[in-house]
Amino acid sequence: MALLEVYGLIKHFGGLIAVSDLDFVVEKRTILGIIGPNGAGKTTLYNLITGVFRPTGGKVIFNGEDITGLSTHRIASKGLVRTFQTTNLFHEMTVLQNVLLAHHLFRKSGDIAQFFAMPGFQGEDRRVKKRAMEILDNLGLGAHKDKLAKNLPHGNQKVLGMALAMAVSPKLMLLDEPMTGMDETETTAMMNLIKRVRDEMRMTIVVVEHDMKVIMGLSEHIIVLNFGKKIAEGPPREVTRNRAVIEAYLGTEEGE
Amino acid sequence: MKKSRLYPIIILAAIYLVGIPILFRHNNYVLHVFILCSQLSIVALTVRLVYTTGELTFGQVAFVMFGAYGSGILAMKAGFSFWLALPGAGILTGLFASLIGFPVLRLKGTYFAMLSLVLAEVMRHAVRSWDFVGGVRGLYDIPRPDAIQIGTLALIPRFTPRDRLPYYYLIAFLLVITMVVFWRLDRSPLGRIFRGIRQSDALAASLGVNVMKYKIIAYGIGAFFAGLVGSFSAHYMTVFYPESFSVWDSIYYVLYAFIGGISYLWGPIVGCFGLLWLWEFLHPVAQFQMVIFAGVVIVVILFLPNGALSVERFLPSWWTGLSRILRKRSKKLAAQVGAMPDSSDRKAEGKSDGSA
Amino acid sequence: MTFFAQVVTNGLVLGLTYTLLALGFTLIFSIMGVVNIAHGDLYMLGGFMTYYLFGILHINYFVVLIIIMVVLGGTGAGLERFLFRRLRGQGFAGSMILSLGLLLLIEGGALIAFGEREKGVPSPVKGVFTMGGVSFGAERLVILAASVVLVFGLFYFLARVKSGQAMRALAQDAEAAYLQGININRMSMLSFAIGVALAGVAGALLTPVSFVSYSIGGYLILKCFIVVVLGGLGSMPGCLVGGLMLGFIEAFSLTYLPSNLSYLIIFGLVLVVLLVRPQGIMGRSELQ
Repeated sequence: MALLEVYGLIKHFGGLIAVSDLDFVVEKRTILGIIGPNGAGKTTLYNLITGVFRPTGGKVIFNGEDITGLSTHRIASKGLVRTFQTTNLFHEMTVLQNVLLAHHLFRKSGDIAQFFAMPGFQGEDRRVKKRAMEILDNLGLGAHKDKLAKNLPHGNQKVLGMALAMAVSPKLMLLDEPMTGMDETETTAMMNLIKRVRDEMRMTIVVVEHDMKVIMGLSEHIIVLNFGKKIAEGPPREVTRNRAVIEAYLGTEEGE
Repeated sequence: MKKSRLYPIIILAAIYLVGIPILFRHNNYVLHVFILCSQLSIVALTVRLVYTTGELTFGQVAFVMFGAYGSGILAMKAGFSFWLALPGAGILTGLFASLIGFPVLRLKGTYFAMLSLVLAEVMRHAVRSWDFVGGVRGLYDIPRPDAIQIGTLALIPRFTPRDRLPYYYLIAFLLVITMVVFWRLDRSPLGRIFRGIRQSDALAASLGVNVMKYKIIAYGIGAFFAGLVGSFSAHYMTVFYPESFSVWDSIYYVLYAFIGGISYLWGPIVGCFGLLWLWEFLHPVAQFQMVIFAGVVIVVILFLPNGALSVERFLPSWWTGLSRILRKRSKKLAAQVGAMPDSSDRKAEGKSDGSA
Repeated sequence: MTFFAQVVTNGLVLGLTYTLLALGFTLIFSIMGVVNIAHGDLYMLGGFMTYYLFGILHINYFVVLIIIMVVLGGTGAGLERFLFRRLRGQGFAGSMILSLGLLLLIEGGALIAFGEREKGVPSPVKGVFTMGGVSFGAERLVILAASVVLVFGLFYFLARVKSGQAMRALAQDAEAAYLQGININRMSMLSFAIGVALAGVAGALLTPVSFVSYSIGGYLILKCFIVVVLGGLGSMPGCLVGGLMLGFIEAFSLTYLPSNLSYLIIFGLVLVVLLVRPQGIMGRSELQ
């Protein structure tokens, strides 16, 4: 069974058709790449899957369950998490506080217990802090734990964004342009990180990216979008030789 | 809490709880102004609480009114003692806010702000036409808080029309409780969730936070404390009518919170006490009172948009600069007098031991 | 039947004045993101200027209208340039507080200059028109005509005139507008100028049939808020819808129902609209 199945997804905004008749499937423990020129509907697709927008038509099935139209936080609690292109962090909090907040679903004690710091809560609080530090250290951010998120260098901010998603222990991660603004070294590091996450944490990942090289290097399977429609699909080799894809990219050849 | 922070608070508490009462024991006018300051501070603090989730509410007066009416009715028609009516009114108000929070908090930003304002106005008009709560005439002859005695020992003294002091202490006590609760809240994971929602509700939702639920929680807690103030006010004034709760009060709560500094716990308090007393001090200039007051507000919001307390951002730099100058001067003095150079001189000359 | 027509006219006149007021307010809000609490007091300034220039100095009424438009337009531009510009881009709270300070400043000034009592002004046009057995006061016709001209003039300006279109572009997306070469500073001043001028003209138009006092600004801004929340915050057509609704409801229920009940109805309706469609009748959806 595929982890994520999307059937006939459609989204209209008034007269504008953002996404039309989208069908695809994501298999467990794979990396799916989604590419397409600007405005192709990639972020809208994420918004539709994660409940930010309600689809005009179509279905989203996650882990065998119909999650179409559910609210974002319910979907997150089922193990589907995404990152954002911008505002990926809580800027006015420290790195550690960011990750602590991301552990929201991890905590079992109710809000009142949290507020009054009852005994059950304190033990859990310690465990949460420990786990948060583990994640940070794992990603090389441990030393920055008390820095304000907005003061981190750009590359670290993106990594922190990943850390937040990881804290939720999701089954599926949707990454939205995780490499923007990164240089070569940072990009390679991030690519390795994504692969590590898939292997070590048995995660399924979908990546939206502009950069062809990145998508080629990461994905086992690629979907190409243009004007809200899927124009090609397949393993990286096939997709790059696809005529429709090459035409779609003629205007925007750079990639970054 | 750091020791250095504790001292000023203890001093302030001493002044407010001991000094002022002693100085103004029988000056009902001064006591009344301070009572008002305490009341308004609590409500301004609730504005701040809702603001930590990212929304500005201009409708808190609706909850103050709800608490006043609730408490008055509990006391007069259900025979509750004030000491039960007070928390009762607070709880009722909190529940009420949680209910209307559902539709109302669907809006955000300016839309929510305007809606909260209009809703307060709507409620006032609705109450005007409801005879069960006294309609246009409101409630009157509301009983004062009753005394609590054990044998001959008066735990709580009688509240009389002539003596403001018991009221002064009562509302000061409520203010302290409110501050402590909100302070705890700020530092708890719940407070962190609120701040996360304010900084990015989309991110919080994608991490599993039920944004609506927490906004309603903040709204409800804020309303609870506003309701407490309403209840106090009802039994203090012993008479009120719908016009006692004007939408302008609501707007002023936000003003006080902002002028003091809404991101600081003490901001709303500084704003309330500062602006209320400013207004009183301007009495002698009668006609010019409003204009001067307006001038102060405009100057503060233009030059200190984060509130009066935001001067603290400028303090550290000139404080450390000042203390550095003072330290250098005292070292020079010591050298001139022929004293032995101490270890601090070696430190100043450069860290040769490799420490960062 | 004549009585009914009278009430309708009253409602129309009231509604259009509310619309004028709300339009100025909404212009400033939708383009600058500023919630101007002092807007009602700018109406009051127009009213007081009318009292002074027309009522006391006996300058021709229509000349006074022009003077008020120019003076208040200039005031609006000045307010933007010297006060609100400093808080641009910082969220609506700061500028709302600033406008509150402004309200206090203007009211305080009016209190000093004109005292506490209400001031009235004689009608600029006398006479009565009769049409189909119904009589209308001439001055109400003037108000009606002027309001209609101004409302549709504004809509035309925003739709067809270049600066107006630039202002709309600015309202939709400030950054895109800037990139298209629109002078943000100039458009900001212009929108404030027009918005404030509209408030002043509304004051000039209505004062002869009612009154003006230093506290009327506070009373009117609340009405204005209700109009925009009903009609949809940020929507110009919404001002028309909300304004006319409020005007008609007030006129009808105040005439045909006991006073208590009338306000209850008004506000019951507001409540219903707010619960069912919180963004207002013509409002853009902030919900998802």
